[in-house]
Amino acid sequence: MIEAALLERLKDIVGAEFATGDPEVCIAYSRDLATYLKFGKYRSPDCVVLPISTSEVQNIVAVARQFKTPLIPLGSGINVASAHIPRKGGIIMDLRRMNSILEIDEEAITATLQPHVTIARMSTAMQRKGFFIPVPGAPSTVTVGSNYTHGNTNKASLRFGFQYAHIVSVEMVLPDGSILRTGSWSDAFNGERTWPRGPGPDLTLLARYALGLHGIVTAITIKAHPLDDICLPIWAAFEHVEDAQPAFVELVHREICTGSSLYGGFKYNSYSADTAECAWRQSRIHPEFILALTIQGSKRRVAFEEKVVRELTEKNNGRIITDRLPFYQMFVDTHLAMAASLYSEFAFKYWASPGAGPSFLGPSSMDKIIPCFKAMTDLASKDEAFGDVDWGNWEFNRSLIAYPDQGGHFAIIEGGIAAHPTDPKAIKAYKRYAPKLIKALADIGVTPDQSRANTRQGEFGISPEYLELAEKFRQVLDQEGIMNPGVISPLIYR
Amino acid sequence: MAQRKKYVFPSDRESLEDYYDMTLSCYKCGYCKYVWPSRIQHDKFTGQCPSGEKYQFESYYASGRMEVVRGIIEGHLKWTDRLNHILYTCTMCGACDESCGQVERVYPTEAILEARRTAVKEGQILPGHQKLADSVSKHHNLYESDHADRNKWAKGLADVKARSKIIYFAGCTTESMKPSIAKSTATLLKSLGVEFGILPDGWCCGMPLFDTGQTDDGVKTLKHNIEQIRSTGAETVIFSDAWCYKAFRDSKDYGIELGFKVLHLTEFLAPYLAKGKLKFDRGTEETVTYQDPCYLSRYFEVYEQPRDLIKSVKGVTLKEMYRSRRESFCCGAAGGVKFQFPEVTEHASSTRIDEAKDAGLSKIVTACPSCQISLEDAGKDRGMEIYDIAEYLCKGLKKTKK
Repeated sequence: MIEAALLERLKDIVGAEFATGDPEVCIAYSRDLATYLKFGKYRSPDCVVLPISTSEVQNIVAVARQFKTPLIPLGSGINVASAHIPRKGGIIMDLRRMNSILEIDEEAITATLQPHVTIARMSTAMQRKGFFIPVPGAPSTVTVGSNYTHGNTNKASLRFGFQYAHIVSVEMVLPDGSILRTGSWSDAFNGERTWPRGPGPDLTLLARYALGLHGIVTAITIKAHPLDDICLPIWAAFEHVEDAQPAFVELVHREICTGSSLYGGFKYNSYSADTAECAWRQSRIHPEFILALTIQGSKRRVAFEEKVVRELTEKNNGRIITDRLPFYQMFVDTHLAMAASLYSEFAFKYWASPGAGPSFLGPSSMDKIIPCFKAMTDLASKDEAFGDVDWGNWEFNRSLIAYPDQGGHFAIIEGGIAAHPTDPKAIKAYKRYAPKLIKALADIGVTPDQSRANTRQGEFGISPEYLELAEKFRQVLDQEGIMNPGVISPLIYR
Repeated sequence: MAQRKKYVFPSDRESLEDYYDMTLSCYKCGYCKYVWPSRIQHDKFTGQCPSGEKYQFESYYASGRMEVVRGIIEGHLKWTDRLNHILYTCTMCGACDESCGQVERVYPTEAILEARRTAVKEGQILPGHQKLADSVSKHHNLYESDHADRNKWAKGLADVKARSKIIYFAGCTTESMKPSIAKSTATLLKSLGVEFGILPDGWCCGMPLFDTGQTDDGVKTLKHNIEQIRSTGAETVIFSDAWCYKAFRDSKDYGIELGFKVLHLTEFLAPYLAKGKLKFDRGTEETVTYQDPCYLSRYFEVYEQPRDLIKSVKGVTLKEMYRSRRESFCCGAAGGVKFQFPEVTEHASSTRIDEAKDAGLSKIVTACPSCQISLEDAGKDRGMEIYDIAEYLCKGLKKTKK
């Protein structure tokens, strides 16, 4: 139950129509996909408040501190990890009204946005100006603030690198109510948002992965790029990972294509299928591995790179599927994002159908793609649940994505065996399978990016040292312990 | 642990409890809130939920309403003013259904409608909706108009006929509020030499009653109309009101087999246009846009016929607003909203006028009297002209050279 005085203060800040403790409103913030699984009961907030400006956010933080009430910032609300479901009641600060595109700087080619601008809106606005922003690795309905604070900006495009490197500066309201501006925005004398580093220590990534624990992001400046003359998606299919991987490596090392990623057939089918059955059926008829490539640039450059792609595909026993089957164009249009980074449209169907995980995501050299895939699938085939053809059907449920960074010096390899994340049988299997997978990956020299992969307790554990450090951070920044209590960074819950 | 309810196959759903599984299927992906990403035309106009855009709280979007419905089923929520406000501010425009149909296949409006039916069963009829029911019961129309005046518009244009293969069902909104639409429709039909009749005792189609959960009353009035139509031996019934059109098209949902064909005026005219039997000339060059009535477009996919008709008018250029066809933004009138929460209608219509103005447009054509009325209300002081398609075409028809 919310204190009347607290609610009144919130109403004074944002206006009576944008703060309420009505249970009919609060209930909408009580569940995400994983909540039933995790808690088995409601976790409604005590009230909801919708600020519109940084100063309103500051005032709300001050009120929450004064009343020692938990404060849970909420962006898109799109995650399967219950990151913003209140553990201990309190105030949900829904940032929905903070949805302005503050500035598009055509000189510096940057966009400064309030946190609730969706990826789709941002892309549309930038493309109208002749720019684009590399794909965030999330559905277009995700907001830039959420995408950043949840760490989904770790997708890499060969030409543009990691997306988080595109964040030039951030404005945050810290748990003590003060404002932190990072990058060159923090320069009191200049203040232009053009340079990600400095002056002083770079705290731009402080909020990344932090789910609002270290503060509430109220504005972000992102670097964009000029649109190319031509953007040509071209997809190559291979029946064996042993064929796909060498083609992929050579393309990447020769720095051909703007966007390039290697997809296991199932992974990409599951994006587009409506049900698990549909994904499995598609897997049976689709190629096992796909190189989702996009070439961007001038006419001459595109023509040259296309020629190279075709040669390498043929050399490695592959075929260009975008030539032969117009059907595939549908997928190309839909998932241009992952390859080209022009636009992000992929839906969350893969959550609905086979679900996500158990997954790993590890930075590795590109020669580890084959052993990673084999380790993952071998283990699954032997697992009593995942290997059960009547239930696990591992052969069709294994997923893989690899995307390169820094000219192919290393790649991010993301793999998993798909199963519905709320299926109790799958959860049990995850717990059995995950430690074995970690060990198998370690044996081949791949350390999973644990901070990214840990979306469910019992899967890949975060090291105790890391947790200790996160807790120290929290004690410094949030002495009252009001920010999203019950959640400790990153993506793990007490 | 919350108790898992038994899964009920969609076509077997009969009570609100049967929607429990659907509510849990919502993954909060947010596609119900926005125009489908690849079809966004302008970054200012990306929202697609009228009530969500107005009230902003998650509960007023489809994804939040799924939690509200879950709360009702699980017994966590009791009937309150706020609960009714959340349930009844949905315009039932179906934009969320359209998006989610491509993602998770949750159809929020079905669950919301069932929640409204449950509310009515439990005595939760809002004053504005009670007034509707009373008016339909007493006057057989939504506007407390004298029932005897219903066919006044038809003088010299259409006749009540005991037997007729084609019936024009104008509907009470047209008859009471926009008789010019009925006159124009009749003129268009006559110009084609179509022999048609009108009903001697047509009642409200019942759509607002269905939308507000008053299903029994809706079925009663719909059945009356169907019996009247059947008595004429009609094979085709033409509608100019998208609400009436939907009431009849949905009749199977209420266990009623019509036995005749249901066509919107634009569907009826389309073959005549294709055969070159319709020619329009408004005697001027102008650019207009088209507002898709949700109950015609998203629900029944009548997208192209009205557009083809508008484009066929000599000198007229059709320019789409940023959100059109499946992504069209509701005028806010439907779902019984304008009778209880007119502020939602005003907000939605006003947003739509903003969009038209931003696109440099000053004339909107639509194909439903309710859309026309709400857009007129919002656009009257902002230099926006709103036409129903029948009126718009009819004015051009006058100048047709035979």
